[in-house]
Amino acid sequence: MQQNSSSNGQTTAQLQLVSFTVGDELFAVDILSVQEINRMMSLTKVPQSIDGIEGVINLRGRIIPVLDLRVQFGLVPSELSEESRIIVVEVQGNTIGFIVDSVQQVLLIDRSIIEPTPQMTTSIDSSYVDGMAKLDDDLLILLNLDNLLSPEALSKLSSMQRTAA
Amino acid sequence: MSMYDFDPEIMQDFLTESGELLEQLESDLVVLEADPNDLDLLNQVFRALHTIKGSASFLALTNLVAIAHCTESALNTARNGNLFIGKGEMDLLLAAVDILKIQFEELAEGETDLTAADPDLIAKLTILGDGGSLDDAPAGSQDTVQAAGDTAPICEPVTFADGRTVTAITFDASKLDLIEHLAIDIEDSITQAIAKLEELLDKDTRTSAGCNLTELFEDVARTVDFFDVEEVNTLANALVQALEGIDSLEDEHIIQIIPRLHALCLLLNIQTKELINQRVISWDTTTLLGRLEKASNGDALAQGMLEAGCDPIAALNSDGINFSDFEIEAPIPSTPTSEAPTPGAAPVADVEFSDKPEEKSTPSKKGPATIIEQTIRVEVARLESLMNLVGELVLQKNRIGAMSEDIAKVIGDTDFVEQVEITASTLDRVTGDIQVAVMRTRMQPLDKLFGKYPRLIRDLAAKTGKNIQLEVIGGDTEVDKSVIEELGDPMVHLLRNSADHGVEMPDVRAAANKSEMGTIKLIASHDGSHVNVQIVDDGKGLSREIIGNKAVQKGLVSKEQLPTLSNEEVFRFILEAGFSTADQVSDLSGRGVGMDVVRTNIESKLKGSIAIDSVEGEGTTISISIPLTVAIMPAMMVAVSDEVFAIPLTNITEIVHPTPEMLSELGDEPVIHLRGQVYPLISSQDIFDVPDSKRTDEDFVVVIGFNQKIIGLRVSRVIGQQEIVIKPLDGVQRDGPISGATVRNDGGVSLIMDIAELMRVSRIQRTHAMST
Repeated sequence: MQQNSSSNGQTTAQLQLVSFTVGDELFAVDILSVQEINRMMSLTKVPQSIDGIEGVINLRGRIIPVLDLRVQFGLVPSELSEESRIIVVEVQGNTIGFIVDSVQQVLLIDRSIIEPTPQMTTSIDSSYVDGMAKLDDDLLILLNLDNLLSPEALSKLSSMQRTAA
Repeated sequence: MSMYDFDPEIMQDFLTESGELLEQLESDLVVLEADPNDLDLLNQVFRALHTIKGSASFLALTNLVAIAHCTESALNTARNGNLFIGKGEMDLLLAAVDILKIQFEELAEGETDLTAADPDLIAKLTILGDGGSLDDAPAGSQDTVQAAGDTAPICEPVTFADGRTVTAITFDASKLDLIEHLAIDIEDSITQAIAKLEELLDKDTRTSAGCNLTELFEDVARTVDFFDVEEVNTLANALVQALEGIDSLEDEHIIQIIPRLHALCLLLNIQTKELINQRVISWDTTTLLGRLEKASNGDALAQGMLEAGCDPIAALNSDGINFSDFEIEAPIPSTPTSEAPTPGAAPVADVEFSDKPEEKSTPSKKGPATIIEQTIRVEVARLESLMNLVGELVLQKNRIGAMSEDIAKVIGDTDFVEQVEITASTLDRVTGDIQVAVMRTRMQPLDKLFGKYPRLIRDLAAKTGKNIQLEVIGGDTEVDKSVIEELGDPMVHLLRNSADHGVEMPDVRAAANKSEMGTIKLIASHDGSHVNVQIVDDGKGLSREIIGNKAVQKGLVSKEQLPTLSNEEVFRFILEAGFSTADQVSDLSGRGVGMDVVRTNIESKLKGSIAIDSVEGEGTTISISIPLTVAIMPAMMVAVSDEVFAIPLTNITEIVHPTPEMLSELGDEPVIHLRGQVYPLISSQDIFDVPDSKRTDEDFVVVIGFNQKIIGLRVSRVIGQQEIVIKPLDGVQRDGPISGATVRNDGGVSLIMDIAELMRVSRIQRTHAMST
């Protein structure tokens, strides 16, 4: 029975999201891809690692890489605060964490209010964005984790930065 | 018959299970060659092959079944004492095993169109199976030889009053012996099918019951096909055909069909039993089959033919087969309600054979085979995640331990504190036990590896024309799965070397007063946290002179230094890359590549050691010592700036706190003076790109030895020794001298230095420094 994941009270017309902030903007990812959210913990830096990877953490015995989304988005690296969190997600079978400035809430939104990305609205590469949704007075940016965090995406980023350097 | 699409999981199970059987079978065959009269072993080989064939036919792997079948026939003839397995016969059997292995590999790669065996091989094996001999000369000398012909009726058919005709037939020996086993398969499937028939009545269950039945009947049809008896084939095929399009039929047709299918099942069961007695019964089934076909095509039959729930005997009678008389001499098999077999049991794959298949047990009395589950298969990934969790458990346990001490300090010695301490220490013991238990789940006996070598040695002996026997001692020694994987290649190289360069030709051995049969021993044993594997040959041994000269020639050692080296040090030169003293490069060995692989795998991957001992003229002993697991190793934790790194302890020769006069520069290159020797010195902060702002003084030097080269590595601080669990660092690292990561006692992550890579990087840095 591999039907659409419409079992947990959520219809296919709706989408359950986790929202968080990076810099001044509000982002969200599908809750199904989020494994857990952790408080900031100490990172072990890996010399000569792929660019964008801040370090590794021990997640209950597993060692997983952690990125700083600010670096990914071309912003200045995060000033860590009490609010900083590591969101652990699963992307194409890989477990990976990313640092965000704060986690906001879990939302249920109608798919119909999601609009395609207008070009050049933010400093973020538009392939990272699945769409945008207007909530009261905030603009929510839906991230495409596959394009953002898959190994190919990371190595592409890495080689781009190397050629730029 | 068409190709069936099988669940990949079924295919995977087949590959794992039959793959193991095939491995076992191969090594058994080689043992069998040494003792062809070992009937138990022969039976074991036969059963293994039979099981493979059974599962393969279930998956409709025609080419695989073809080669398995004729090999099985040959083995069967041998089992019955009508064939002696000599060298020629064994060559054919092993060639067949090779084909099977190729086919298995193809299957594993997702290929369904398997390589067919050489028809010549099949023909030869078939001749063996028919009791013929390999040399095509008239087999007059062998009085046991049977006619090579297939099934042939030899008696006049006897016709009974009820309209059935009984004909005696003769199967050739190979088939005869299989009948019993296959009859069990058939009967099992039919019993299951009869139990399912009722479900066709209900519209809700009709489709799924139809699928199940089709599967069962197809299975029966395939098995029956093997005997190639027309009457039986007709019955089986009719069953399969009747089910086509069953879900589009009306209830009135289904009512007509079910009793007839049941009737056919009964007939088929009786036929199967009669096959064992080498008889075929012919009923006049024209009416029955005709009506069945009509009903299953959706055509209305004449009214009042059969009613719902009508019993199968009535169906037979109504279709002109007088069954009631027959019942007396051939009882109808157990009714579906009484002993329905466990549903869901795969009929072919799960058949278990009694230890002595020759014993005539009446198949009808033997229920479906029950296998007591003593092992289960678990994905390695699951064990690994269990290991990770246990590691974390140990960590938390340590914290509780530390906290209980703190509590004592804060609130003093009270009953409560004592309780906490007792609980903490119990927790300590339990977690320790869990850790050991989880580690053990990954352990496998070395036989898993060693089992492949008799065949290797046999082939090597055949290629070189030498007589070599392999003795394996301690194959039940258990090591971690990953060790088995890494040890495979080096072992093959070492054994090849022993067989090719060690053991002499028979005439040379005879001249040297040795037995013509050379012996290679493989000895494994536990030694604390290590396992020792020795490869001992009684060949010509290593020559210090030849190896020494070659080493001087290659510039590995100076002519003056050579006499000061111990024998062992000289022998170790054979482990150098590109070092070969063989005059001729054969296709077995001699290129000097193999021993290099041996050293890389054992010393750097397995963190083990190699010792070589040899007496010229008497033989060579290569001793390998490796840790039981590569997942855990002792390491020295050191600080590089503010990060903690782990250095494998096996590579550390000493740690010094150098005085200023020990440090100097040679040219531009920093060096350290240690007891009169000078070694290159590198800074770990340079290697790991520590930014200037974070640099600290590097007060300690870790002296690292690898591959007979020594360097000093400056580090900021030395923290202490720790057993570390190695974890992969996938997808994080571009390059650099890091081999993995580990979790420290305090829960933080430390990186593990890759010593081989560190040596390489330091050399590049130094050359770079010198050239600029």
